Amino acid sequence: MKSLSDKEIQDKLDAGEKLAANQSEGRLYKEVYNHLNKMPEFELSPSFADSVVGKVEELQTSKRRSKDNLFLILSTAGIFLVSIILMVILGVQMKWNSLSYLWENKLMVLFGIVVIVAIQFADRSLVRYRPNR
Amino acid sequence: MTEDRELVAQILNGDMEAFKLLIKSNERLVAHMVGRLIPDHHDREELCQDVFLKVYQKLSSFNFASKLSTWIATIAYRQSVNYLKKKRIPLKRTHIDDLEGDHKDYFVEHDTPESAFSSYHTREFLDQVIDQLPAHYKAVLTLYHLDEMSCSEISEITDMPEGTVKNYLFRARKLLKNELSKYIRKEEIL
Repeated sequence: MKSLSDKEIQDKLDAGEKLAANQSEGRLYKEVYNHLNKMPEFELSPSFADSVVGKVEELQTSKRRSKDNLFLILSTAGIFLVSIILMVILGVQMKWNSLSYLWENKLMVLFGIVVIVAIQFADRSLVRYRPNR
Repeated sequence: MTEDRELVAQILNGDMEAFKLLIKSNERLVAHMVGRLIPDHHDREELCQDVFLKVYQKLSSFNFASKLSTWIATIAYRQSVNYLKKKRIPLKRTHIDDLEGDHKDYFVEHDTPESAFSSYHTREFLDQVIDQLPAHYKAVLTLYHLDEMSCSEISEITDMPEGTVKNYLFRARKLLKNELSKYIRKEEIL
């Protein structure tokens, strides 16, 4: 009996045709095909879909937060700009020595800055802290 | 296709249950691709998550030119290839010749060649040979045999010409057959 070429054997197996029992090459190919059709060992965890959805929701929240932050920055910059424009239009003369009280009370100013930083730090590390991130 | 459209519309309207449904119906497809191409077991699940995150982010640009599963498989393939490139794992490496030296680790005694065929060690051996194949070969084999995709679908996913897909499929299976033949012959001698 004429032995089949590799191409012919593969074509027959792809078409689901049976091979002659005495085809040793065919037997090897069958073993390869059986192995390839078997599922690999890797499987996803049962809660896979939930964790992906959780990640999507986290991403959406952080996107929303970034939008809010951008709005705050732009608003502050806008107010600052409008103030400058108004000062120029109204001819307001700035007396720099009026800010000298900041220098005179520098310890209180420093204390205020430290308190604000500490509150921000506590908020991020304790209130909004998520251990899985 | 109509089902795909409905599902996509629901997800785009913010329905997370619909997205979960999409994940559940395509997670095996993604796991097959990532499981075959990514050597590091610890990174596989995270990469699968990244694939579905990308799917969610890009869903509004999906134009139904192909099946949803084909589109998801394309993302899984690209993410896997990008991972391999990032980790500097060569896409086209093959150490099939080097396997010769490793055969001895798999040699076991069998009464007949037939018993060798169905042995656990033969399966282990084939797994090892598949692991050593170039990434493109593994992708083509996985999509064809595990996900039962046609050569034209595989061509779309991998962005390779259909002729190349057929060629890779033929060469990969012939290579596996030849390696298995060598392995069994050595086993018979021992």
